[in-house]
Amino acid sequence: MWRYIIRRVFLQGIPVLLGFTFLLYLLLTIAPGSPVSHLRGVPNIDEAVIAQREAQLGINEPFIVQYTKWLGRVVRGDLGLSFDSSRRPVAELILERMPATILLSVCAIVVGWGIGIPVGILSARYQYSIFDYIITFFAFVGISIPSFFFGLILLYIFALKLNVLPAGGFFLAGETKTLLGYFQYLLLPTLTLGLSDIASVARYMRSSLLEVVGQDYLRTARAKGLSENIVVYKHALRNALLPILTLMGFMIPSIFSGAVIVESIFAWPGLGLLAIQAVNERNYPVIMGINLMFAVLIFIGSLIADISYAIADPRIRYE
Amino acid sequence: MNKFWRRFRRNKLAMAGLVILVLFVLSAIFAPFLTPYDPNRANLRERNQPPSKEHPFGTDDMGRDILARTLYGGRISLSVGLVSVGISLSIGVVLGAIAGYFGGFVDTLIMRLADIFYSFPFLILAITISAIFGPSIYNTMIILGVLSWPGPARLLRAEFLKLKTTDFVAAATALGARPGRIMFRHILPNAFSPLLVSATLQVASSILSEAGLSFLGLGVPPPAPSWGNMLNRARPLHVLAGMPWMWVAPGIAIFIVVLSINFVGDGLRDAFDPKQELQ
Repeated sequence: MWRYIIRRVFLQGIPVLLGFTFLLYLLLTIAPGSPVSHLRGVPNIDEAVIAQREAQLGINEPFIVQYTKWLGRVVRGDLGLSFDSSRRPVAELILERMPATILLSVCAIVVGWGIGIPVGILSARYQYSIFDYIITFFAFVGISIPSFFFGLILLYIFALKLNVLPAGGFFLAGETKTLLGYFQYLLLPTLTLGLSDIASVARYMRSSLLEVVGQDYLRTARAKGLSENIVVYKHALRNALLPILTLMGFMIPSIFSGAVIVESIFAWPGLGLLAIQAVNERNYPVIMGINLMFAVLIFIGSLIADISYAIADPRIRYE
Repeated sequence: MNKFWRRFRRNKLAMAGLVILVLFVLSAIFAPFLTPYDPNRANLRERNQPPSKEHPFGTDDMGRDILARTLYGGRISLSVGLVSVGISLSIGVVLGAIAGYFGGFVDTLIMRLADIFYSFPFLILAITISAIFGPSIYNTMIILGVLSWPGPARLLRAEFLKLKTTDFVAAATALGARPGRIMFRHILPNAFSPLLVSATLQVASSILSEAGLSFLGLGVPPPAPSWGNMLNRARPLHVLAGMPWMWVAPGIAIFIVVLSINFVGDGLRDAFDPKQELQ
């Protein structure tokens, strides 16, 4: 297994990350405007001041020099300094925001899979029943409703009209962090982010189980006289759950994408909010840092998904 | 084709989706006949009005008619969805066909590039690119199209790998047809049905992405109405709480259109599925 992980990291992970950061940095530098372009709006500004500021930020050099320097620092664990007036280390900014995003994403995945899998199983077990039709319909609704619209509806009902949950944020300054507090702040953002996962996991689970149920070895199990419940829940389910594992790797990028919108609706102090702020300020080091962070998280997520797939299914070899 | 249509017609949800979709497209095209108001014209004397006889969906904070903005917004949201999928298909079909047909080094190169595009969160990259190039309708179309080519490319590559070993391709090769002709005249038409299904579903996700970008203020910029940027204007909590008419109409419009497209896509998939013949 270790050989497989090392091969994946060096042959796939690192080249992909290099290609990705190279393309992104190139885009940032060839794009019109620059982090100092707001200075040009200042009346009577001396060109020397702008040049000095550019030199200070290190953006007066050609693209390839800038990128190589950035990469050299990243390898040593230094993501550079933020371009805004605070000039704080980017790594510090990211570490400050990351726990909130990870917490929200993990909760959404737990809710999405925790609800999606049993619902999908029941839907397949009672195929063509009323329950199955209702679930199928709601799965379509879940993947079609824009997360921000769903989030606004939840916000409107529970925070603004019923006034039972906070309208966003994540603990006020000085507020004690109680378990109930976590629940109250997390509930609406988690549901908003998790809804489409509940829907798509339920759909995949249903079709995966239905596919397995039609196979020969299950006919054998039925022929032995086993009850349908044992056939489905014991024999079929194990095999049907396998393809669902691979889905996990695919869903992590979309969870992070969704987090950007959800964090923006609920003022959730995570990486997504930081990203929106950074792109609006053209804060290159922060933009690069966040994108790199997400790419690494996604790579690790897909690696874990593939490894757990290989552990769960002995037919899969590490290739 | 008749057989597909017959099977498609049996699917009630897909038919309902198709009818609703056609209605939305027609209402976007004929918007000027359905509302007397100019969607961009501010009227400060009629600001923040709840739904009434004159303004069935109410007015926004600049006194613009919400119904007019929702109808005209459909033009923008639907065309961004269609054009971006057109861009994504043009890139994806060519690269996927080349990768699948020639294989070897070219295939590895194209698929590694697809991996790079798959390895980051779509929306974060989209907001980054949109912010640096400046949000506009055309940039939104290009960003969504260029970022989503790996989907159709992977699909077409798989189809090409499957089809290139068939007898009719061997026959065409034996007759001396050039690779370009084999790829686009002989193989591509046979990959039409899975491509159509995936393109349909992609239009739905593209409309959702445009709305998401515009909601964050990094997609279609105001004053042009798009369903996403109409929701963006309703984000202040006092608007959200006190004037729900401003955000409910565009939100429902996105939801219904995306739901209908998903129903149609699903219906197409079932209609093209040869396994359905047995039932």
